[in-house]
Amino acid sequence: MSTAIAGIKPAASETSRRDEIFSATLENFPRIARLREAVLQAQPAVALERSKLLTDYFEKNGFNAERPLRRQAESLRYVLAHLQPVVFPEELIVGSATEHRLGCMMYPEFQASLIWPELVKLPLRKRHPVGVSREAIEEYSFRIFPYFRDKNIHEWAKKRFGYADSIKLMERMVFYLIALPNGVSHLVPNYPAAIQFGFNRILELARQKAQEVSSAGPEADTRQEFYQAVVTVSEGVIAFARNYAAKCRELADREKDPERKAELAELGRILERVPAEPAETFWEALQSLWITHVAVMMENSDLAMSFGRMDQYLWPFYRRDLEAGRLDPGKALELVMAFYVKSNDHTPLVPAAGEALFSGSGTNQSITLSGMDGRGRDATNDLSYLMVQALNLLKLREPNVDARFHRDSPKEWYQRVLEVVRSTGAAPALYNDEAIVPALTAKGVSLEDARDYGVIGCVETAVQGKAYPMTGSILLNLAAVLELTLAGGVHHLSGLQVGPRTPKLGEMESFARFLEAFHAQLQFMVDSSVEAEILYDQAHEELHPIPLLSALIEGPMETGKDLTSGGARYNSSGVWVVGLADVVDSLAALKKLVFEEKRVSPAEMEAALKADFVGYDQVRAMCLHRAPQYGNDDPGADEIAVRLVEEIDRNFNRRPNYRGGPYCVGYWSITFHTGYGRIVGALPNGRRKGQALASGATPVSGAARQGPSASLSSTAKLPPGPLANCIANNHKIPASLLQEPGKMEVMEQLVRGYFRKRGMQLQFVIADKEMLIEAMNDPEKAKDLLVRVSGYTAYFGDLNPAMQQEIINRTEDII
Amino acid sequence: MPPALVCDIQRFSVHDGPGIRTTVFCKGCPLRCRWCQNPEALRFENELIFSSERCIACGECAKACPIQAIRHDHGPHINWEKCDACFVCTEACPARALEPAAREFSPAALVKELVKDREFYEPEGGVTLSGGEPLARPDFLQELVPLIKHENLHLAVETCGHFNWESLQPVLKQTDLVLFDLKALSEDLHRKLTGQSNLVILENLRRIIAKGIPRHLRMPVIPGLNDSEDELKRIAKFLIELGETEIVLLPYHRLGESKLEKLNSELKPLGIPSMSEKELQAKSEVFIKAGLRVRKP
Repeated sequence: MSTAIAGIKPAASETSRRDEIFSATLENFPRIARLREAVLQAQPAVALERSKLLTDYFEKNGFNAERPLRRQAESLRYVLAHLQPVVFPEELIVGSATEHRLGCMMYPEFQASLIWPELVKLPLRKRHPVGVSREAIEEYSFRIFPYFRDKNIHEWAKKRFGYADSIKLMERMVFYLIALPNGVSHLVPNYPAAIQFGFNRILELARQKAQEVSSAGPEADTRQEFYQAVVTVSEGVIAFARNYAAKCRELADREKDPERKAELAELGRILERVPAEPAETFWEALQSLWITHVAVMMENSDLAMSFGRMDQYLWPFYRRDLEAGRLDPGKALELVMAFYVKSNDHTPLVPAAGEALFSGSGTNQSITLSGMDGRGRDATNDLSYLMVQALNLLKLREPNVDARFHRDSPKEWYQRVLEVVRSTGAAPALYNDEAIVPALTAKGVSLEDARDYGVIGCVETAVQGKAYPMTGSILLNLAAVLELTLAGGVHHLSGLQVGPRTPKLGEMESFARFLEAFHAQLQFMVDSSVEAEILYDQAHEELHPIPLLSALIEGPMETGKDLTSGGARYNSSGVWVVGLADVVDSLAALKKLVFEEKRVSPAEMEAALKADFVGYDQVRAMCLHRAPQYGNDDPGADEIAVRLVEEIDRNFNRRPNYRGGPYCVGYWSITFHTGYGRIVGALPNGRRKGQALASGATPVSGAARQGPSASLSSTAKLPPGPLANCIANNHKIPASLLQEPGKMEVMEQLVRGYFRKRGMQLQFVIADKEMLIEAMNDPEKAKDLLVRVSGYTAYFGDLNPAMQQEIINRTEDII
Repeated sequence: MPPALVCDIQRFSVHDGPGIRTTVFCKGCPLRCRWCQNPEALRFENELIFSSERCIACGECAKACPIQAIRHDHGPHINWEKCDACFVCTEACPARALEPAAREFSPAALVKELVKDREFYEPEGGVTLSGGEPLARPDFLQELVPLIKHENLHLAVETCGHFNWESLQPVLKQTDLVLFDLKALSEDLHRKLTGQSNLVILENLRRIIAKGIPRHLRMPVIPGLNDSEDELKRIAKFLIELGETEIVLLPYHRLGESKLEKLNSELKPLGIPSMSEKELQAKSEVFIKAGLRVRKP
């Protein structure tokens, strides 16, 4: 097999090694190019095998309600041991998330049955058709979904706790959503432990711990049962890998091509060893990581299950192989790309109603590169560069690659990363340790652990391997809370008194009074969402413990407590708030125009909003042009933003979460700012009914008129602690600007300036408008055109038209 | 000392000197270049600006005007002869379609704006004073410039060269970079294009060079007005004789023309298209042949 990049002589020094890596093109890797094409061309199909095995198991063995740990562990072992291994031609990293090349994972124990009414119609979808076999339709419709009807988290919680008002309010979908019915997800497992120690050692440790549990009583029983469950699932993981080993050997026997034959034999050897035993080589480490990741997805939702700091924990393997002459950077790049391509083998399936909200989203498996080490020193290494170049060459939606920075980051890291951003037009996103580390320590994380954060899903940040942070737990529509306040707690669409009775805008005499009412509505909504979230968290503990993931987070193995029982070292819940900029601008407009300058009376403003500004052109013009707006470095708006994020953080942290940890609030929105925008009426910032809200912590589109440095300065003012679940700051840069000589340097200075001001996160949208309009009209033309959507990368063609339009609007020239 | 009138403070300027800069557009200029990109900055007095794209034709301005200088008919029609720039209408306009061309700033207030982007300036960016003609207010600059230097900011001054050398000595001593715009070498042509002789300008240029003040010599290239081969050759020769090695060419673009309709300007649209990359390349050749390096801004 080829071990060097064609046409490039292997170089000795570190810098020339990097030059070699960055001079590579995908043409140097024809096999990877073919694997990439195969996954891009594949139509997603509904996965069946896992659901079938799970149902088989329960039908045969019963659904043991008394012993959830044992039940879940044994059913998982059964699934892992019986999944048919699927190996595709030319793969270097094997282990398939589903039986398909591109599969939609189905979790009947969570929310998969939401798709039930649409199952037969999936292949007929106009956008993103999904294949579904006759067998899958029949199995899901007549056996699997009916079996789990009362055993999925959502229905089970409703039955267990009664149909609480907080759950009813969630089901209205307008104000907040809770992610826990979709399973435990949104974290970074301790994959390094699996790679470095292997499951045999985990299994042995669990066995030993089970014996050490000496005292008697229900608590000790549960601990013993937990350790036994870890033994069981470890056996499952080992069997899963061994089945793949056998499959690879079988394929090797039949293979005619001697090179591929040797590869398959090697894969067989590797999978016989890992993840049971510690990995020894870079290839073994990558394969061990992937197969463990797939096993974790057999137990837990595939959403935002993230890889963490791969350049850090794979570094010893890479360096050792390089020194031993077993590996060169070209081959390492090929393996990393094979891994990246593999991570694109599954995709979420969303009901039609959700398409509008989630359009184009992947599963957001994040990889975190560079940053500081536990002692605050720069941790950038050759792998950081190699792994960011792999993204550059592949330009695939998954994995979501994120680059960390701090005050001592090498200039080369800035330059290389920004070159990749220019080349991909979107990724990676940039994270500032100087803001994120203090944000995490403010939530009780130790300094050393905070420095070891990984990015999760879209943009969220949490300690890797030690935390159950459930970073996507609560989604709050802040704009809807403002709307309630304007109407005294009445929801404008339904006419129902949803929130507490407060005076309507027309009855207010001061801004302080308005703010008081707003805070009352906010508190109500926060309390209600937290109540629902706590119920689901409890439901997980009682119904669906997760021993495999628990073995892969620091804490449970020491205490014998499952993750769902709060066993992790750090236990937080993540909140993501949509509508920050629109609400800030609205509050600023009310304060200035209505209550200070009295240009508009409260009653007139209320009437203008009700009329969607029709007949109130003057009021709307004032809202747009005569009030301070977030994104202009204007204290009139920015101070409101600062106080608001502090208020929201305070509200969520008036009580600990179910597992005893804090709530971490963040400002990112995936595509919910367009979806929620559609159901939010006119707002005092001049936004009309139905228009998209601003994304993440980004200023309202068109509001930031003082250029990028002023816009970034506004965002950088937000204090880190109340943003512990991070932000998405989308920044448009016209591609034409970066084509001028020397302007990459300017981009670097822009990022450095923002980071010096302790801005937390930044991601660029770099594309010319013409290019996007062309892609909108002819999706085939730009199948792999990547854009950045509020925290994740998406293929432009996968977005719904409203989202596409928003990206185009965002791309207007700014200078 | 009276405050200065400032038309705009533009943050993240990347074409007015090195790095990321904040550019201050001072109001008032002794020249009347026919292609001026900032026509709102020509007069030394403040004046009214009307941006029709923001106007919602509500008529509030006409109602507010104390001397009936605005007639409302699908938007304001301003009697410029009558308007005495009291700006009452700008307060009444809900959309800020009517605005004063400039705001007043004391030196201290201006510096407060200039430090806002401090974190973005490193390592080579900073502040650029432009206009209008920033050197037209020596009294103001003598107070402002020490404050800027006290903040340790890199200071560039963008000038047409028509200024009083003596009174600006202290200011130029503290200036890190002069962006010196040369429009034409022949005095007749210069007078025709800008309304002023260039004797003072050329003299100031010689002094700046002689004093070794760091500078970028720049020339706006206006098709058909100042770009005859003969004129370009003469400029090249003149610069080489002064020992200069480099010139920055600023290709003409029409963006400034859209501002003309917003105010009562004595300038008229030139009616010539923006300069293409190819045309600029052809003009650059003249300087390159003469032995000068040509740079983009």
